[in-house]
Amino acid sequence: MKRLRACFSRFAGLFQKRRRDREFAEELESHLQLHIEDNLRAGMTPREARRQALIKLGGIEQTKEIYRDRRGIPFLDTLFQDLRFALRMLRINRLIFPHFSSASILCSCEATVRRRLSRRCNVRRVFSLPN
Amino acid sequence: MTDKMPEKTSEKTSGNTPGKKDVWQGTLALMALKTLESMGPLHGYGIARRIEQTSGHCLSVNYGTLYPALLKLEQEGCIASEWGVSNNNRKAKYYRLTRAGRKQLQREAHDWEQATAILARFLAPAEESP
Repeated sequence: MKRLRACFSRFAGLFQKRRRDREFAEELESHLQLHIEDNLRAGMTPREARRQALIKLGGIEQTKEIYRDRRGIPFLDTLFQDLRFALRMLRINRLIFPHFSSASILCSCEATVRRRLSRRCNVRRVFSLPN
Repeated sequence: MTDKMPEKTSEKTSGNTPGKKDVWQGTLALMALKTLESMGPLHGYGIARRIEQTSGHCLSVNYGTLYPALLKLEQEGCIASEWGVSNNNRKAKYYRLTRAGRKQLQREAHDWEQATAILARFLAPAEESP
C-alpha cells in the first residue's frame, strides 16, 4: 500500500513542476537562512556563516537535482521531454515542408506494418512446409 | 525479518567532519521519524540539527540528503508537511508524523532492536565450556 501510494505521488510529481521547484527552492532558502542565523549566533562572520551553511548542505544545485529525481519518475520525465521536442520539430517541419511530417509518419507506419506482416508470413511458411 | 544491517555507506558527498561517522544508509528516515515523534512538528533544518544532537554529535548529517528522505517519507504517507512560521519569524516547511508513520516507526524500531540483539550475541564474549 505504501509503495502504491509512493508510485502515485511520484507520478503526480511529473506535473506542476515549476510550482514544486519554486516551493523546494523556498524551503532550501529558509533552511539556509536558519542555519546562517545559528552560525552568526555562534560568532561567525556573515560570509563564513553562509559558507559553512552551504558546505553542510552539500551544494544547492546538487540537492535540487537529487530531490527532483526523487519527486518524479526520471524515465517518464525524459520521455515526455523527448515527445514534446519531437512534436515541436514536427510542427516546425510542417511549416517549412508542408507534407514532410505526414509523409515521414506514414513511411514509419508502413515499415512497421510490413515488418510485422513479413514475420507472420514467414512463420506460416515454416509451419506449412511438407514433412 | 529483513536484513537491517547494511554496509556503512556515506549518505553525503562532502563536508565530512573529522571524527564523525556518516549516517548509515537507510537509517536517516528512521531517525527523522523518531525525531518527529519525540519533538513534534519540525522543519527540515530542525530535524537535521536534532538528529546530530541526539547522536551526541557523533554523526555527520549531510543536510542535503535529508530532504529527499523526507520527500520519500511524505510520498509513502508517513509524514505530512505544511508551511508555517519559525520561532524567529521565518517562513519554513514543517513536517509532522502521521498515524501510518507511527506504525511504520514502531515496526522499524522493533526490527532494529531485534537485529542489534542478534548481533550482540555474536559479539558477546564466548561462554566458557563446563
